[in-house]
Amino acid sequence: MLSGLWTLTLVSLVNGLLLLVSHIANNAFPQPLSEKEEAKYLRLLKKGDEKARNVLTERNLRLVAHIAKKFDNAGEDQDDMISIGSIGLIKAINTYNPGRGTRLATYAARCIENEILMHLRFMKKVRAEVSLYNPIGVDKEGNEITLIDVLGTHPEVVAEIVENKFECKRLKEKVLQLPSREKQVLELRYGLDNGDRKTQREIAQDLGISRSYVSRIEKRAIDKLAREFMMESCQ
Amino acid sequence: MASEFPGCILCRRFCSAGPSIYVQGCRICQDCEKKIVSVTVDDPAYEIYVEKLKEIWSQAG
Repeated sequence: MLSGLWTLTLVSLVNGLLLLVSHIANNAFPQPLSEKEEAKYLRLLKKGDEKARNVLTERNLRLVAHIAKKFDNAGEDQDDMISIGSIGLIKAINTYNPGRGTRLATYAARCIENEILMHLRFMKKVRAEVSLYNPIGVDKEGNEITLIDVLGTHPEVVAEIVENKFECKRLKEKVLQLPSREKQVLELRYGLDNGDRKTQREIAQDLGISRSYVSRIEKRAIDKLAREFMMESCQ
Repeated sequence: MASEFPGCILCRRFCSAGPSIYVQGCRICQDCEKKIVSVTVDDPAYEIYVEKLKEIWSQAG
């Protein structure tokens, strides 16, 4: 299976390469402009001649093909490389400044190469990322399993979390109805406010009362709450 | 060699204000050309442009 895929990839790469070579060899793209011609069309472009822009673009397509060929070993589709190079060329034609003393062909070559390099760098980054929807295998019945299927929280766990939150809310409502001292002891003892639980001894120290008194307050408050919940469930 | 499709090879529209660029007989309207000039490789539209620009290549064959 794997060797078949490799063969297919290799055949596709060779095909792409052959197509590219044949395009260049068969003069499918027009010959590049000479320095003199380039200067002439740049002058015309400056005067607003839109046809000059087409000529400048077309006559540099061969440059795109040549530069794309340099990236044969990058493992990317050759047609993609040509298209990406074409984007680089269009950017070059639009941003070229003759005043800088560089030939358009030289500047365009840099833009085309830069565009391809940027794409390759981006693809490398993208491939390093793992999608949650990536297939990681198949189940017993042959259905595809994705990463998100495995990482997902079990529905029963979700239900338990929701139920707990609901119960906590009910408890807090009942605690609020208790006398302030009982409420205070329960809040400190079970961390109802901030999650920090204290021992009866620590609460006794904080409130300036004995530990046994804290214990009695706690017991009384819990008994009240238990009664409340019992009465509620009987209604 | 002219493209069989007379509209812009990127947005497939026939009319767009301003001049168009013709590459191997394939038309790219001014709006799309502007977008190409500013598009970056991480833009979701980039892949679409790459795919559609292949028409220029196919015209050359």
